[in-house]
Amino acid sequence: MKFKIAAGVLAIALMLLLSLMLGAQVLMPLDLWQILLGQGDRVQIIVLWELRLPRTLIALLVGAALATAGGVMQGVTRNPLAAPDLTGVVAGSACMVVILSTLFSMDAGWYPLAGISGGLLIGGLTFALAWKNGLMPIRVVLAGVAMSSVCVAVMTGLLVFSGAEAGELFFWLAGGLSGRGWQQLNSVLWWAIAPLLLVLLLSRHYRLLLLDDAIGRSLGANVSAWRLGFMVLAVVMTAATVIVAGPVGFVGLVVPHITRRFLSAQSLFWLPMNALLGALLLLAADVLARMPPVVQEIPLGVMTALLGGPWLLSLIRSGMGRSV
Amino acid sequence: MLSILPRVLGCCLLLVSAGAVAVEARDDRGVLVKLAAPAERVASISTFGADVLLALDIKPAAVTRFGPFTQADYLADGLTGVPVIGSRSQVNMELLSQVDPDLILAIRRYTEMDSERFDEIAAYAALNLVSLDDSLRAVTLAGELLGKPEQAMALNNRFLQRLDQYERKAPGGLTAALLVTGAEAPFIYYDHFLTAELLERLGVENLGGALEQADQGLPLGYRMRLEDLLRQDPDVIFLFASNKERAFTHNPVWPYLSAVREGRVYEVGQHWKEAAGPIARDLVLQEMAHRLYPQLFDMPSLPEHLRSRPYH
Repeated sequence: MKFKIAAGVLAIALMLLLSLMLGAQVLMPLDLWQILLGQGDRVQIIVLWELRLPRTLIALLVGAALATAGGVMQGVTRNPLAAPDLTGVVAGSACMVVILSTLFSMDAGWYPLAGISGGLLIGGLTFALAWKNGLMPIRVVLAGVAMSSVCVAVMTGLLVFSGAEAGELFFWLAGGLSGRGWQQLNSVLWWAIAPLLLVLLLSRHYRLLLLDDAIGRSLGANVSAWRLGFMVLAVVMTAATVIVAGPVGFVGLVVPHITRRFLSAQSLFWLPMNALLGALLLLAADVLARMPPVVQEIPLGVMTALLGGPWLLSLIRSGMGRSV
Repeated sequence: MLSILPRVLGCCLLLVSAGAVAVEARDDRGVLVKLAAPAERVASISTFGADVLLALDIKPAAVTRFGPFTQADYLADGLTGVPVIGSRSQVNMELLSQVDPDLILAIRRYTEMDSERFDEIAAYAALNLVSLDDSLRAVTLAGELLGKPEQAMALNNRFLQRLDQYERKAPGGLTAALLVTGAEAPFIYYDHFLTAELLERLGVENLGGALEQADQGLPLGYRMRLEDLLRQDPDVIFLFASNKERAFTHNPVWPYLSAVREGRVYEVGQHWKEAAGPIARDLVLQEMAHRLYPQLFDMPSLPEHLRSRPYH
């Protein structure tokens, strides 16, 4: 166990180093060391402190939050296909931001609240539609696809009529961390960190929810209340990631499955390990996204979809959603 | 005797119209656009059409929206009362039919897919409208189809003379970036974009660089990494119109740019983005020259709301 966690931490550290080194100009470890000592080239100092460091931290935070949200959703609904992007939460958050941006030209300060309310609304509707004597995986996915389709239709309509803004919104909807800095990190920091920490702190209750409801109740837990509470935390986390990075798919779906290959979901370390792997995956995707041989970066959402799409197909083929 | 008079007059009119000179010109698709007589009712899909028509003293029969505005503000009163038929990417065909034009001057990249539908309404000329060469060619085409080739040639010659004169006078040695968007990563234009070409002609290096292979002049540019912007550090930045607050100007990197520290960042009018028209390109050239070399070139006379202004 200790070895696995140490390996995860080491991998994160290596990826963090790579993330600080790679970009339009490669900074060698010696350059990084000199910058840390305050001696580097002026442009290199600005690039590291003002661009790469905040971007790296955002990538870690977004990855950890999405993976945790996915893990929570899959765990509390006992549904291997439940994930922020498949349950309509991501589309709901994005849709609300697009509505506010195009119809009301609202200040970006309102985006976190808008994203969270959109995510809660669409996520709630998805689970309400899917509920029939419990949450069957296929019903959740179908309801999520339906709700996401509605959101996509609304967004498409607004994009069509938004004229000059369409290109910008389209770019944002592809997901990405290009140009994100301290300001974007500050704007969503607590919306992502607070629910993430709460989930990690409450992991004992999370593990209770993985058991049969009757067992949970016999252990004195208010299963329904905890389930609702965890879902709300997952939605808030997801919405925060949408605000800062746009809709980034597949991380919330794929990472919990990877984590289960390393650790039992009942392990006390499962949620932290899941968050760690999510952070690692997203940071790796972002490093790849900014390294193409062309002048423009590949959108992060495209990169994670390229990585996660085949995984989803393999999940379906392997019968992971067989209960469906 | 009196009853014969209208018939005689009718015959005269018929003879006059039969004698009207047929006109033709090849558009940017390579299609020969033919008209039995010079066009009189011209619908403009893109600002270029409205611009060139007004420059040739013809009121457009219809225009499309101008970015976020209903009509091109720099063309001012010339477009009063002219019906708006949608945006350049989404033309309302019913409105266009109602206008009953005899010629449609259209931007190619947004309209070519509907060329058959446009052709059913009126003669359709598709224009690239990206580079300076596109602009000169489009003005010539418009002149031919409107029966005013000499006036159109004069517009081009006047502009080229001014451009040569400015080119000789500009000392050069500057770098500049033409940036647009409200997002976190700015969009920068390639060298072949008309406004960027004007920069080059004024001795300024455009940081957008050259596009190796362009199809119809596309893409116009790309999303630039802020790292690259910082590394290349332009002397002057022109910010194109955006109805959103530009997120990239709030990045901590922004204040480190030389152009920002020297107060050489300018917000420019919407016409800088659609500068292919003879009026727009002339305004852009003069204003650009003044902002780049304020001691050498005067600010052109422009209404206050159209003028570029320092960006803080």
